[in-house]
Amino acid sequence: MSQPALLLREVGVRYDHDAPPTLAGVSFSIAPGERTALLGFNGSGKTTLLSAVVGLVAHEGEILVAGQRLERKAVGAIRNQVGFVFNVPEDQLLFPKVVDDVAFGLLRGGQLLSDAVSTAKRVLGELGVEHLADSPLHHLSHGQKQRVALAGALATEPSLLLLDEPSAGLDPRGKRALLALLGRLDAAMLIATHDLDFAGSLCTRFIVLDQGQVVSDGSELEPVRQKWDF
Amino acid sequence: MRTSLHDVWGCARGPIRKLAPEVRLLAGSAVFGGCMVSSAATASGVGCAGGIAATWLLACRPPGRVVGATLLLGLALLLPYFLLLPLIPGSSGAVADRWFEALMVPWTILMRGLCGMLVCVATVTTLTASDLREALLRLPVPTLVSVILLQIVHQTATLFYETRRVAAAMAVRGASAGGRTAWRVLFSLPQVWLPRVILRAERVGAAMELRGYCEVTPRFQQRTPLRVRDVVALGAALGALGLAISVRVLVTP
Repeated sequence: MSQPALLLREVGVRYDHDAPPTLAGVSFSIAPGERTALLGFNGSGKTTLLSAVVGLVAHEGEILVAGQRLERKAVGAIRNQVGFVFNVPEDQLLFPKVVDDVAFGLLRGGQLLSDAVSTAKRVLGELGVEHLADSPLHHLSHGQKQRVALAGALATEPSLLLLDEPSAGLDPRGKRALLALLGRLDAAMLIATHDLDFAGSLCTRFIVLDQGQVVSDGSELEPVRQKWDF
Repeated sequence: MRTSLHDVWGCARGPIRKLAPEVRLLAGSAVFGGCMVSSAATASGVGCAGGIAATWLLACRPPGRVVGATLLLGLALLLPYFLLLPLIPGSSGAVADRWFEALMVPWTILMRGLCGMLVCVATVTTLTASDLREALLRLPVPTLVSVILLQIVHQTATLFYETRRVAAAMAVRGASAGGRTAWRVLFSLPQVWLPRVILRAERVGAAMELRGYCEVTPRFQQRTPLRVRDVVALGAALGALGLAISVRVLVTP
């Protein structure tokens, strides 16, 4: 049996020692290729959980990505396997030109410039924004930036995708394109979202976080929809 | 928001744009140096600085609106120094001499400041943000300095828009109404703006760490050897710097 793409055991995060923990006792695993939605109200700990998986916040407990335990010396290798999209796309776009930003991860992985650029353009094309390849990033709308950030995360074909509100700010056409694209990928996904329709169209498992704890974990969306009005 | 602070980058139309990015940056720096070493106390010094700056402007050909805005900003920033004239001590001697000496201080600041600003802005207009990246990576600048500098340039636009959004929200919520409401809104600005900027900086820092931004510095443009025109332009810019130094040394009393 293959190793889980992501395994969390009793994971906790505490930003302030005097305050209640942001995450407490979170345990679950995601199988390779499994698409999981992480649902919850604002402040329930979704973004913190995603950040903990890539070592951006200190955690208690155990996090394993593809069998590799998240610790200081392994964090670089783990991040290379993970595609991450922040909930504010502007924050992760670090280059002035769209195609440069998308190609960065590929160049970092050792690809030749011409190969990296052609792959970047292909991924941008799959997201319907190839025409923006040579545009300056600051000319893009929020939805376009969202797609460029996604393209940057998808270009390296990671085995685990962590997406924080990926459908926020996308128009219906962009959402459909994103659903179609994510649906074709083999990568395991953990998608933090409030968009139940988006989650229902893509995911096969729904984990609900409330006050930093997992309060529901199942394969049916309807009970989640009935119990929590996100 | 098609026209913005960030659109100044790479908007020039002069022949300098055809040079290699690192040559544009180096030549601009040499011309800037020429303006800075020129003496404002002699006609030849002023002519040298003005001539160098004007030639660079012609070679870069930045849009007129950019030049106009830079001049306006420069005058607004530098002319108030003349208000300090009565406070500037001069050496003993005739009153006219003392005033002339005192006048030289703000005049030097004005001349060098205006020429320097124009040269810097003209240089910036010849470089796109991608060109600046390539230029810095090709020059012997420490990589960490380059990547941080580039990120500062890149994030400036984001901060500019952030500030504009805060300003718009303040205007809508009463800053333009006048009276006590306006003051309350205005005084809340630092409390609102600073935490937003700090939070954004934290998030960008996290993204840089996650994406390995400082670990590797890939090049997005193929490196080409310097051509004859690059060498000529660089030689001319260094010649201008040499001329300014010579005039300073030989002519200044």
